[in-house]
Amino acid sequence: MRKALASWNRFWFAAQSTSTAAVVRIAGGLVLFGWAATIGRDVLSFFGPDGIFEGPDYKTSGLKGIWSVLGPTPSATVVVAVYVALLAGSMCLVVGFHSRLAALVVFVALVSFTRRNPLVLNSGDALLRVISFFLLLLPGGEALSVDRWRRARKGTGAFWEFPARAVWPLRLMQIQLSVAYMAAVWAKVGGGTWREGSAVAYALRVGFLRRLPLPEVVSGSLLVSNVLSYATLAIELALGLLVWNRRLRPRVLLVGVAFHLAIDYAFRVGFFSYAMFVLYLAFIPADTMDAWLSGGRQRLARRKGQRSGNNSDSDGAADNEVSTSPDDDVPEGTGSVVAVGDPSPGRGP
Amino acid sequence: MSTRLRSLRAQRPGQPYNRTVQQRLECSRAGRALISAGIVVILGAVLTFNLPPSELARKTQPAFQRVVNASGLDQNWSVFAPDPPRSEVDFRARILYRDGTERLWEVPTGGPVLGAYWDYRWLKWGEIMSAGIDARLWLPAAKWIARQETAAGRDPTSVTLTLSVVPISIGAAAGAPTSVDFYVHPVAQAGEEPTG
Repeated sequence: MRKALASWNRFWFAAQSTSTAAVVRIAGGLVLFGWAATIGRDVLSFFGPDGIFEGPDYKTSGLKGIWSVLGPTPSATVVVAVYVALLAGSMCLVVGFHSRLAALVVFVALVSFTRRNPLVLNSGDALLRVISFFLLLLPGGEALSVDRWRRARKGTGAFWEFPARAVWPLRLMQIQLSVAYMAAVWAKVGGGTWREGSAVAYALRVGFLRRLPLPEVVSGSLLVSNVLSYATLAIELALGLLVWNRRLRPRVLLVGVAFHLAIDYAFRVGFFSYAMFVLYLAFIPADTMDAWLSGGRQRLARRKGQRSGNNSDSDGAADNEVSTSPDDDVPEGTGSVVAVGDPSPGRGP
Repeated sequence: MSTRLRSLRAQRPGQPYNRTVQQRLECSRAGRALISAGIVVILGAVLTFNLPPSELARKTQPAFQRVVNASGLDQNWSVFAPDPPRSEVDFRARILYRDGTERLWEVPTGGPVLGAYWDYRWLKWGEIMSAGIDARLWLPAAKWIARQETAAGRDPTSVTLTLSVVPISIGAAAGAPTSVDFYVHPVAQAGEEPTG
């Protein structure tokens, strides 16, 4: 029992640098901002009082737990207000300004739009809503954020530091990714076209979903369809299971990136692939992310130094490696600090 | 209380800022128990709503229904599953104008590069409309199309919702499309009683 409890605590509450959480917040914010920006032209047609759909009245539907700030027939003013809040909230997520509040605003707006008119949203949009829920739990504003920069200006910590925090919100995102792929595989293997290998050929022939041109040999050949259909099942299965294997993870995720870029090229599925990439980021170990950010910061510093005609590392970052606080026996969930680059306090971005 | 937990509770010297509520919860035994309970509920919601249709799903889903609805964790991963469509069904509207002319309205689409990031929502709606099974969707759709026409300075008298169906065959030319009208919405002139 004690061993199980220790394993549970290790899995959910181990402290790690917030670099991965911060990057997930920024990437999630960018995708959400893109989503919000592209729905602006249609927001009243989809969700307004004279739109394409008269929303269900959830108060009388008997469905438990459903809520929306829009209601079944919202005024145009309310719809636009919620839309503007979504746009502003997603931008605040990107820059990390009052990150938790921004995540809450985005979450409320997305749930409200979904409940007002679910007919215009696909699985990728649903995933963005799910991601917004996880962003609400994530300490993503702890690093690489305006919030962090303001603290640094006040002299409490440095901008380029990544307080260690419990990993559980990222774990939930990781499990969500795994479950999504497993559910997708399960749903597909129930279909005859996936088992006989013709599914991709049928999917590529749905005219209104086609996006960029594909050679006829890809969309018209049954043999190629066999390969692509079985590869789809294999890749999704690998992404669902093998992503948990530390050694295989980088390769599995790279294959996943290629897979989703191909989907994005071939089909009009909106932000589906990019939403998946946000969840992929949750799998990047914090030490790897720290190293990437450190490398990026050093490159920036070098470039800055070259531009100012001073090749010495003027901001002191170029020769610094990732450093951790002396207490490597990190107590789970506490605020020990991982600094990237120059660990001196009070330095701005 | 274990030494470890005691050490978590202590404010570490040199810690540069005050702990958040979440951090304080993560640092206490009771807080962790609370978060763990939340994790179990979230996992339960995600897992049960991704179960294939089964007795297990029917028994477990009601317990998490409220959580799923409130948290927006509802999701469906049946993308092109169990099978992709075997025929291409396009949702259209035939608009008849007062001068006797008519026009075929199609779901708005953009270009393949940037347009694909906004038009997929219209295509999703068109896909649902093309199922042609939920009559509650027809009137608002027809009214909206009529309003767009009127706003563009045209004078529609009726909007007929229609489906164009083309069977998909692999390695052969596409078959001829079949059109099916499924709903007619007469457009009232100003001063007339609205119908439909």
